Amino acid sequence: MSGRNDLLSRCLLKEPKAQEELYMLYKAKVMGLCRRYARNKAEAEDIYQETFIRVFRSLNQLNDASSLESWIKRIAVNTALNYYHQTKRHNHIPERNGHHYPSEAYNEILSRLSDEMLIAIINELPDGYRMVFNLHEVEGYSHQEIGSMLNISEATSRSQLNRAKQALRNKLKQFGVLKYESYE
Amino acid sequence: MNELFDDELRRRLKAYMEEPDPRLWKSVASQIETSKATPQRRWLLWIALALIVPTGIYFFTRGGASTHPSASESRLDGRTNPTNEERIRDNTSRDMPEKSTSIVPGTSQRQEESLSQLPTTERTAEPPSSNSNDVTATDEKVGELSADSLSILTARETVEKPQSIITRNPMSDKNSDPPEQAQPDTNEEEHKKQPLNLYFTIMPTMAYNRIEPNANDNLIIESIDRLAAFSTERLGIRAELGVERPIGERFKVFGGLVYFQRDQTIGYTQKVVEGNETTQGPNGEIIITPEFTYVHKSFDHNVRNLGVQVGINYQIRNAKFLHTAGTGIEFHRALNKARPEPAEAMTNPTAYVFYNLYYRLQYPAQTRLRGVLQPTLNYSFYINESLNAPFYIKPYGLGLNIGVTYNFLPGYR
Repeated sequence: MSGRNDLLSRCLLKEPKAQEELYMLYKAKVMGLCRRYARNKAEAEDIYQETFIRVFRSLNQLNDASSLESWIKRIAVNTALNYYHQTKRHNHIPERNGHHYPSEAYNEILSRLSDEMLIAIINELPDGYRMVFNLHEVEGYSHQEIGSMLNISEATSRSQLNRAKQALRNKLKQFGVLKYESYE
Repeated sequence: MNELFDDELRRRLKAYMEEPDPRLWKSVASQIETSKATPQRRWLLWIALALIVPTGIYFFTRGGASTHPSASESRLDGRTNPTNEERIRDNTSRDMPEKSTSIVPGTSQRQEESLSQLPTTERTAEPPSSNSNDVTATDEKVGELSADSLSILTARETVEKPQSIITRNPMSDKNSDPPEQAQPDTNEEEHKKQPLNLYFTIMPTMAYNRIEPNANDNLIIESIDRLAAFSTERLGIRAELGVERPIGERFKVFGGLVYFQRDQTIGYTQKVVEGNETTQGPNGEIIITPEFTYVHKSFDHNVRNLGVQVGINYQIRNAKFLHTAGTGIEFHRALNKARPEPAEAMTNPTAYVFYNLYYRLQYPAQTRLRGVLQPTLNYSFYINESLNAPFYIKPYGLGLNIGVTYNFLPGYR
């Protein structure tokens, strides 16, 4: 922890080497988070850059060095939210209520999916769905919190999450079928 | 989807990491505030200080002892100047060979050492004394003392303090140096004796570049960040290993390897079209007015060169300081390979040819290790490729080298 404190102190002195060290420590995690919230890689890179610029500019506001990682992640989420508000599109995908696989089948499909493919599927979700899904399912925010973050009601947040899950299921199903077909 | 699926999905998404494009750091770094004195430059400054300070102390503490090079370096017969002890031995062996080895039976080693410290100069001021026991009364050259007088001297020494001989010879230090006319002018002879000298030089270097915007690309460079004349950003390091050979009384040719390293971040402001404002003109034509924004970017200009050099030195003055003017040509090959960076489309060149014209001041001129101050006019008249960058960078201008050089050949000047 003293190493972390030292690194932060040097970053506060704006030492380029320390700044680079800090960046190197969290770059992969932050990019992973940005990829989940963005529509595509280019958007993710925009959010990513903006996140780190904010991190370095507001590092003096960090009170507790031990919470550095969660602080950086929070900045990344907030940056993604800002980006969403600036560029949001109201696109919906038609919900397909077709054939449901048994739940074991979804587990099977998920286990076969690479991380990159999984991210690609998440990226394809409509903006609102993707935001609610990430905020609730991954970050663990409540619907009330999400509502205030996205300027939507709590009920809308709930319904968007359900729809996100349904859309995800459809995509996984589609992917699974395609994969099965490819084996035939 | 069941809970197991949700948990697994959450776990995988939460743990997902992805390596970002390395170029993103440069973009981030160019937009955050940094301290000016970068740590990676500071180590060069410390190396420079670590070289210069001890070298300076060494030179100035050794300076007094080495201001009489002829006392320790050369005689016409090729031997080094004899010490007092050697003079005594020389003289006694020449004048009284049969007695020199047994001055007084039973004389201790300490007494012999006292004897050895006798001065060698003639002492003619005092007349001969009748008292043969008084050492100061003799009018003979000390180096030519008879066996008897030496016996008396040593006998007296065993009774009195052994150091007393020195105190009773007031001219000892002053006249211990050989007479000025006895010092041979050996420069020419030394050159003949020293056909090839291997040298090593290391010099922290302040280097300067000529940076010109590239007019053939589509980028608009609004400005290039100015660097202070003595900024640590300019600091590089240069090392040379080579051989030098005199080709005349004042001329020497040299050749060898040269290593040069420097890292510099060049900041610049680029004018970027952010958008277009389209309006309709009075005659129905469409007028597109670009809207510009300014983006600050940076480019790492890293030089790690290994090269060969040949040149010629002209010795202007050879005294306490060795003054030399020299010129040379260097061919450098970059050790760091050209690294294409697609985003900025920038590469470092892989080969350079330099022409150098310099004035070299070395101190002290007599020792193998010397401090060097070398202002250099440097011009790179060939770079093997045009930088695919918003600007051209040519190492050009006046460089200032401060360092040390080591000559492997003793007494080489």
